[in-house]
Amino acid sequence: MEWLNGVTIGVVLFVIGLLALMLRRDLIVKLLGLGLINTSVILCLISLGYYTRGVAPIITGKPGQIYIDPLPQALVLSAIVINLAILALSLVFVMILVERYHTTDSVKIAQQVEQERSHDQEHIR
Amino acid sequence: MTTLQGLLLLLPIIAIFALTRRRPLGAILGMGVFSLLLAGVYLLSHAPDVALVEVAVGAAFLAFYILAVRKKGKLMVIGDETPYLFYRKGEDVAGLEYEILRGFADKLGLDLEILFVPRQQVHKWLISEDADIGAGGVIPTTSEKSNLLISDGYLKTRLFHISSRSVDGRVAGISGSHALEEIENKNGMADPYAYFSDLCAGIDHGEIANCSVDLVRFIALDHQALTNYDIKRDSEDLCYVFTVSPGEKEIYEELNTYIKRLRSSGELDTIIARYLG
Amino acid sequence: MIVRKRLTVQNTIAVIVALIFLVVVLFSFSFIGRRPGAGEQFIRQGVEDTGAVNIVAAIYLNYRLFDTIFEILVFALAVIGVRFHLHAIKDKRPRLKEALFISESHIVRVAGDLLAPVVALIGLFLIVTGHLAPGGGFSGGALLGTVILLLAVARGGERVGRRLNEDVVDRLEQIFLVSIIALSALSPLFGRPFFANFFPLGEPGRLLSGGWILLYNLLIGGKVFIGIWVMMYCFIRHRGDV
Repeated sequence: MEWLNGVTIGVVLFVIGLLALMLRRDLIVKLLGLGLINTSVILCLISLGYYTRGVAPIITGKPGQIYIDPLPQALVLSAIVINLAILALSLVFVMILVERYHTTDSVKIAQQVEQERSHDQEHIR
Repeated sequence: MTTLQGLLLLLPIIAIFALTRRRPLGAILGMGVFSLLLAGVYLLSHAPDVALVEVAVGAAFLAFYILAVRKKGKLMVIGDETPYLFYRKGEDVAGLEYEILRGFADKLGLDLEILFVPRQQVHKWLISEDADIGAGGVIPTTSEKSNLLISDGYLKTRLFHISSRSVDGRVAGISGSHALEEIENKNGMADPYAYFSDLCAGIDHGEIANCSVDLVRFIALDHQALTNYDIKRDSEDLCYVFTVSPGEKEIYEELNTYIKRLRSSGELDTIIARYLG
Repeated sequence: MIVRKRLTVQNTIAVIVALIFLVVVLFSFSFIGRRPGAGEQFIRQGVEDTGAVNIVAAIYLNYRLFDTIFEILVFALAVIGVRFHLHAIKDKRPRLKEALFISESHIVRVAGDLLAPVVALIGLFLIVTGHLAPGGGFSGGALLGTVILLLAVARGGERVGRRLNEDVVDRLEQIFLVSIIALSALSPLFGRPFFANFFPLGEPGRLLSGGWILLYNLLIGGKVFIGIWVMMYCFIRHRGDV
């Protein structure tokens, strides 16, 4: 069972998020897929430092303990926060699109934008 | 297999389950569960700091998404007050139409929002797609030339023409048709009897020469005040309907099937009996 | 029909590309586990250098404070963006008092009242002991933000929103943000380089230790608490109700 670790699962989650991003038409599900991709990278980084017999990097002073590598964890904290910030902002952009086109379906929104554009061009002529 | 590996195996399963939901709300809740499990994975990976941040961020995130998504899920109903069908009762709304719409909104999983406006404005609101459904004893008359979608009827009704024997005055047409009011408005006849209560007061004071009212409003009229009036019953059989905003074809079809199902299950008859006896 | 056919072709290509990506990446990851040297230096010298027992907090707020400050700036930018754009799409529908029906459940209200102080205490504890145990400014602040959401669900968003004076909240947010940045720029006055701790380190394991990590945790906690609450309040107000 060596192969079943955070890195492989992280890559699988990345692919699931990528597929959701490409195949689903709902913008909100697309955003969730984007968040999943970010999460999968974080999981990979955390698992790279994971060591079965290690303990969390909080120094207790007991001798003979092996601590987990603290660097990826500290790195990942910033990534999670930025993930939250970016997705909240893009959620607002989705809400603006919904306000204007009354749907979250990306294909329908694209069609409406296309119609508007052709309408504008006729108007200019 | 360790606990950590078991949790890791669950992650892709829940992710696939969540991201294949048809409704966004299901996907969001699924990702909330995913976030919680992920925090467990971090904890077992000896990263308690990251696990705590993941829990807090997951909770905040779930709140953002749910607040943003349920904005869309609103069924805006607009209409004027109609006795027995759609009326205010203290802080709440009651009536036959209200019960039907309440059940309909529950079935679609939408929040019901109700706005009472004068009858003339209903048409405008529906055309501009600011509201979804128009209610309040609507009858599709022959003069209905609007492009609103008109649902199946749910209750039979008649028109009553009331004409005064003594007064020559205004014509008031509370007949239930939005378009009719629009035409009258264009002719420059500002209707002072926008609400039904105004009409009642007008009849009490004997100001009204002619008016047409529908069945429920006729029942609710004060019959004492009608002694001075001639009452003619229209022979045409009509139905009460809902009007649906032209942009909401899906809601229109859902509403028709909902009314059909209510009628076939006999539920409609029990609601009608409760309000109209 | 043509559109549907094109979409099917696109979807097939997407699935193939994703699977190729999966295979390539999976086989390129051949290393995992403990590699000596990777974070050894922080483990060996972290307590001595920073005075904080929690090495993650030591890296986050001492060794790599530069990264953290820009992360806070990104977060502040997101809060500004959410506020700005949600104000731009104001609801067109006029709201009447009688048009809104807030369903108030007693169970939810009582549970909210009981849980809110407990969760708030946990949040404060996480902020204060960020350098000794897992936790820290961000998780504690986000937890405090969700406490306000809990209150809003139990009591109604408007009622909770009215309590928080908007001007005061704005001013506090600015003060937190400015002091987070200014504190790191004060170091040269004490003969240290920029972004370097100038507080006394203290005895490791005590509450007052770890230099400025405690102070930074408090500032970041306040900033994140206000930021999360402001974003949430914008979403609530845009919906009209919780």
